[in-house]
Amino acid sequence: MRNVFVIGVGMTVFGKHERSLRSLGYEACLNALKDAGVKPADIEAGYCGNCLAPALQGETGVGQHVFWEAGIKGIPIINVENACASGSTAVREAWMAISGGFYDMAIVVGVEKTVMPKGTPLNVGTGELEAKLGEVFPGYFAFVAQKHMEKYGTTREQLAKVSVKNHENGALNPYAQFNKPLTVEQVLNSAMIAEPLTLLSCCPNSDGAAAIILASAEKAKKVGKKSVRLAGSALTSGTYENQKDFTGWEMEQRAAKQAYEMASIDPKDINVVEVHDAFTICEIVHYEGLGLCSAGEGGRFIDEGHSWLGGKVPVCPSGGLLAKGHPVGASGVAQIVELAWQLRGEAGKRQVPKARVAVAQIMGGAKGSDTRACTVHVMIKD
Amino acid sequence: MSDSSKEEVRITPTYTPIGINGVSWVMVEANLFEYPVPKGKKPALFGSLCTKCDRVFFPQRELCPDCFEEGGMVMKRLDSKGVIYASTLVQIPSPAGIKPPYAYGYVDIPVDKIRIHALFDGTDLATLAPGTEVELVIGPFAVNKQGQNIIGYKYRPVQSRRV
Amino acid sequence: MLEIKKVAVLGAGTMGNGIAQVYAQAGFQVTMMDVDEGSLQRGFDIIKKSLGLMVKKGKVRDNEVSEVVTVRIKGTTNMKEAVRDADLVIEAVPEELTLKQSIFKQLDQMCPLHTILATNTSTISITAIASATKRPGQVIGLHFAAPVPLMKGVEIVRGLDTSEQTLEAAKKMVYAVGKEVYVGKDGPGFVGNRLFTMYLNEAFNLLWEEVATPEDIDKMATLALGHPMGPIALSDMIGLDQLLKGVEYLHQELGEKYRPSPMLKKLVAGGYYGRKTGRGVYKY
Repeated sequence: MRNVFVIGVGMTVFGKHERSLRSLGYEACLNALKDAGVKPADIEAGYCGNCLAPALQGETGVGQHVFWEAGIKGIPIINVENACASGSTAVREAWMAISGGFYDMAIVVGVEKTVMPKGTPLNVGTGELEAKLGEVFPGYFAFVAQKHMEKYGTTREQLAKVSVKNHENGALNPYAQFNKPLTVEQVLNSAMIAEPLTLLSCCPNSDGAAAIILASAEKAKKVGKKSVRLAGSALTSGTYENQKDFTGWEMEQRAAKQAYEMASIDPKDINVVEVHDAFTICEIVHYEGLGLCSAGEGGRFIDEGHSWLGGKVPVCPSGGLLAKGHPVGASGVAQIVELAWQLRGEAGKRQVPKARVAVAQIMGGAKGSDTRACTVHVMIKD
Repeated sequence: MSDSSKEEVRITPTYTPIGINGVSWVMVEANLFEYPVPKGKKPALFGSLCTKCDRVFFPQRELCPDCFEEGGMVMKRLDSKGVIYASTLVQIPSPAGIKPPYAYGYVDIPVDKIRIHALFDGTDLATLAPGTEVELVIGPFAVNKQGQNIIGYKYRPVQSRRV
Repeated sequence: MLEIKKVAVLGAGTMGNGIAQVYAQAGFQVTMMDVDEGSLQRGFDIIKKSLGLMVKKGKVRDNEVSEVVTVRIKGTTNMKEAVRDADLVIEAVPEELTLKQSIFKQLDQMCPLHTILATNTSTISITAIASATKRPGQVIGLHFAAPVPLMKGVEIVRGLDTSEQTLEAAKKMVYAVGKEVYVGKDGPGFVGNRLFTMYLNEAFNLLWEEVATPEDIDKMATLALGHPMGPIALSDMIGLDQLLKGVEYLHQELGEKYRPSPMLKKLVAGGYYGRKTGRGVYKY
């Protein structure tokens, strides 16, 4: 298995866009191609992460449409869906193909449009029994919050701090959907969605796209200092054990272990992290699942300032899904984009000083009382 | 099934339709339970029991994921008593057409050692805290676009009797 | 919360037995009431015949007919027994205000407090009928298009005081038998009958003026208008006496455009009421 490098990255601003999926995807791809200094003809395979286009836009085959706009055609192109982990699964697929020697250069794009007309809730239908019986997406995480608070004494204020921190970071990110800082009171007093998660504890609907170029060591030499090694990649699905504990995701712990082993790192080596903070409770649990702190200590971790910019290991310097936005298929790729900037020293006001080891974690979907897919990627600046 | 709305109208015919297309109720999904619940019988959900490893599943399924033996599963009526594991009160409209606020969560069924997703009866989360003993009720819980009642299941806190 | 389980139908005539039939088919426990055993029996016979046609069309199984007729519909000549535990009463007696008011007054006393009292009247004011009760909020017009087992339309008419809950219950009970709803104002003839009565009455004027034969008039309606039954055949089925009553009522309320056709008056005067007497315009 060969080493794989991220040699170019690009994204659009996340937020509300009138433009189509293709237009957004094209912009991200163009930015990534320019960043890498390569041409469409250099790309040997394309991977596109998108989750909801068939349901919301009535479109399928997004990848081929987007890449064609960017002048990419004829090569193997594959569309990847794994709920919120669509983009990161697409990254993993490209990584595997290059690592396995099939291609020397591939492009990955993630693109999504979930902003709905005012007053219209996001509704992807009720195919599954739980959805027919009242399940809503925030509901599942409301349970995790309830059980974490019950078992470990995690408080609502600690949960709210996740949103405050990420909105503070988002204000420093020109690509973020939200640029206004928030207070704990504002988060706690915003409209209740599903007890105890309030509106500002949940990520928004967003439109946007992000893209990266992956390459073999040979091709990476051409971009020199800009290239960052994608040292570890893991993907797990749930075991759907029926009566498992809701206060942690064992599939996340498994994916983290696998990715760290691959990259030969320990949690203490990690300098900067991007996680799936779709709901404030998620980030708290991810501190524990990724080994940044021990089980149950997640609330204390943010209280003591460790995950803020300037802290021991900043989490979601980009603003995360909460403030940067969450175009579902794009988020997994956008995390890699942010971490590449961090490792290159190009992250502007949100730069984590001397960042060398970065971790991206994202998970998606619900199945029974578990989640469907979890990816963990490790990036290292050699 | 009790509901907080006094204005609610429920159509509950006694028999199943013969030669007529209008049905005043539809099941949320087939094969989950029996409705109308026969007089004198307790409401029950239909699950599957693996005869090899004794694990119970809901809804029913054909193969045990662990034992993977054909024909090894039999239908089992789940016990109607449960204990709330987790609960939340939802304030946004659900795709299922249930009007907020409504409560749902997970219920552990001690007899069958299974945890299932379920709606709860009532909107006071204080009465639906984890650990609360609940019992199964089967009946309408939402109305579809054709004005038909959708029949599903909910769990309701057991009324404790003070001695 | 209002629960509707049992339905009582007053009148086993053309409308009454059709209404009883569809509710029994839909799965409700139904009581059908009329003033004497003979009328009841005729009603049951018509239901059996109608179900027999459905068996031929394959919509109903042979062994299901008796289930509908003997298990689900209980016949009685005692009104109190019929409505004792009904959640919905549908009255389908002849079109006369005083008769309906008298019946509704009795229903008010005999029925449980929550019972909804619906009238199948095609012309009489719901508000006027409701005034005979102490529960005008629970009185509503529920007029089924004839023949009931075949026609999908039901006209719902609210009286001045009919409540939202009653309206919702009425709508749901229409959907429950696979039919559709249209709502009309409580005025003479509502929607359907203002149009329809004029149309039927005019058909008799065409006969009076010898513009065409009854067969041709009916043919025109079925072929050119797409009606399942022509106006003459339909009038014979409704009962010319009933039709005349309806026309006279609208004439009284709305004026000259509803002047009863001399042909219609002649037939009724001669006792030729239609199917139920073996002869109307056509012979049966």
